[in-house]
Amino acid sequence: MLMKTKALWLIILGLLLCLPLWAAKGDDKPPEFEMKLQKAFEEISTLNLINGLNLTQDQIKQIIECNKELETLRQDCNKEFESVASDTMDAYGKLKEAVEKNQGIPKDVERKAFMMEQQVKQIREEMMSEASNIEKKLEAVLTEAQMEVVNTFNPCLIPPKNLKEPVRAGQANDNDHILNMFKRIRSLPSDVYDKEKDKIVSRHLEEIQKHIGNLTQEELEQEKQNTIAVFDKVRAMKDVEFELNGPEVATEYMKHGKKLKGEELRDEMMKLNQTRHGGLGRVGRYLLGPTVVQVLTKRLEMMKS
Amino acid sequence: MNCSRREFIDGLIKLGIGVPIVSGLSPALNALLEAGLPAAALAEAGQSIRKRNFPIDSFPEAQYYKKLPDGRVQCNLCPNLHIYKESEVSFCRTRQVYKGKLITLAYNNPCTINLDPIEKGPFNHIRPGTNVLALASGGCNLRCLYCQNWDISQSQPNKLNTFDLPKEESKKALEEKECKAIMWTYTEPTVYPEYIKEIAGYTTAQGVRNLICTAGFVNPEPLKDLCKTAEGFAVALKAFDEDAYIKIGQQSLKPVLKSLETIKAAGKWLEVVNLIVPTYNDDMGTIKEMCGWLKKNLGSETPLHFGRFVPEYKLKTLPPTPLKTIEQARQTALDEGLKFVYTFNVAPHEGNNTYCPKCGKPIIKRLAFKILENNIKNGTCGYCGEKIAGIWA
Repeated sequence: MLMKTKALWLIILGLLLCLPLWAAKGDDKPPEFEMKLQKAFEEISTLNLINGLNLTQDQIKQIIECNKELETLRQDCNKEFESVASDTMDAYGKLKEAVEKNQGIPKDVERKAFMMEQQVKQIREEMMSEASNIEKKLEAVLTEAQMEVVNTFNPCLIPPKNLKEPVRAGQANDNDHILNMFKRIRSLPSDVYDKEKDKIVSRHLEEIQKHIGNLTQEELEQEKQNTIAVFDKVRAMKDVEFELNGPEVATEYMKHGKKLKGEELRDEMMKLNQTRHGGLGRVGRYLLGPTVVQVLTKRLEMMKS
Repeated sequence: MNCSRREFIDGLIKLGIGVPIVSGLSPALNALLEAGLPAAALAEAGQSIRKRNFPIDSFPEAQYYKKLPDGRVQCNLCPNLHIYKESEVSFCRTRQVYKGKLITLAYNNPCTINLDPIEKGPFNHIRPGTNVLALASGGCNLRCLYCQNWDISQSQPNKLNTFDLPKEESKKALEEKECKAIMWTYTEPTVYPEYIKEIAGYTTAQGVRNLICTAGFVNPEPLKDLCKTAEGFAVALKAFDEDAYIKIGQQSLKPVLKSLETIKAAGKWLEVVNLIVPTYNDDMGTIKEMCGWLKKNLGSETPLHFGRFVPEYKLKTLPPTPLKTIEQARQTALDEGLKFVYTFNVAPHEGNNTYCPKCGKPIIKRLAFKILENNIKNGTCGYCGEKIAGIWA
């Protein structure tokens, strides 16, 4: 199941990478199938989250209300954009002309373009600030436990069935696959391991690169040493010691992989962006939007019946 | 010759037939395959290095049995009181007749060792948020259709891959992980009381608590002995009518009720679990009756956990228990006057929390096994000072 999820992620990642190619070809938007695929993924992923939250009818109604507020805000914002659109395009057009001539920009053209840029920015910031308030309202609807689920949610098509952690609603984040790899490494006879460990580690790193992209030669060498050290460590453990400490080592190793993949950096950047510019956090990202309204409206009907 | 599924697969691997299966699992082993290693090495690579097949004479004599004049033995451990002839393995698979004596096959050889949150028991009223050393040997005297651990509970302990864990080793493990409790769980601990008593006798002196998660299908005498060494019990009450009990676990309800009373009378901490299985035990009238019995015989402060069934083992075709059913059952129990009623296997849910019976505020907020907030101060509600039943220190 994990493999399937990973494969689907790879397909989606591939498709996302292909988007700039369509743009380069001059197409306005990606092919219809890809759009449908993306929408289907979003719907399923939202459903997984909603299933994992065990929302009450009252909570669902409140979330839908928050979404309606956001929609009104969006429409208001669009109106404001429309009101400045003509002047902005005019100012930018004149600026473009001046830049094309490359003989200096007249002061009035520069000032007008700057003013319009500021106006657009102000509308956008006001909208962000309002949206952020709506998100806060939405957060207040959820319990602490539900917030915890949202904060650890990773969008996915098929949520893992994990009895050890029954609350997981999103993509697998557990260390079982690494633990299984450790178990196989532990069970290799010493002579086989000593003779083959370079090959095993190289193959393992090849697999890793399939997921995270190519590593530099320096990174590869460092990873090889690190992986061998981890493998040696788990092999040296006694049975009981491995059973009790293996999961921790696997988690550490997994964290290291995430760091390598840049996931930690991405999360940090998102948080930083939210703090600096007041953008939406995880709750807003996952529970505000047309797909959420569509899914929750249907769920509410099901609950009532 | 009888051959279990596990033995069959093991046999295939040993013959080298399993190699393609194994190789499909791991890039590391694929690398080995490419290196052209002999099949024998790969067969070894596919196996656990844990011990199995301890010699039969290494196991000690069991307790709770009597020798019959005709050479057979009668096991008195559980209400089945089965009679066995020479070399026969018991119904629970943990005992065997060897040279005229009943021996226990589950001794110093757990098949599972884990570090678990105590809430997994479920024990919601014993030192919340702490980790326990969870141990299990193979074997069980029930045949529950939905067993999540059937691969170990329905196996003979000495035929599983097991750890060598005598009391000294268990002490080391406890110290290393700074655990103050051992939780006997996953399978049916009351079918290996000898091992539990051995470990408990040794670790209790070190200040370690022994907690037992059981189905409670055990005779009073061995249970009373276990009560001397264990401080807490989580008892799975499978249903509250005889027919459903037999259908679900192929055993009888009455001895389990007797066990609940025995544990309570011994003054041990007790939490009751009722897994609600659609169409088997989800009748609200019976649930109400059960709650009434629990309140009357065990007291209103005995925590009750309603568990959500998930399709497992022989009941894979049934749907999971609807949330509505779990919520109805919880409400029924609260209406009957039980003070601490929880939902299990459903999270996030308000039923994960502990509420003060006096002021009604959530004093422990949980997300499944995870503690989000604990407002119990010295065994009392942090808001109104009401004493909360449990072992908090």
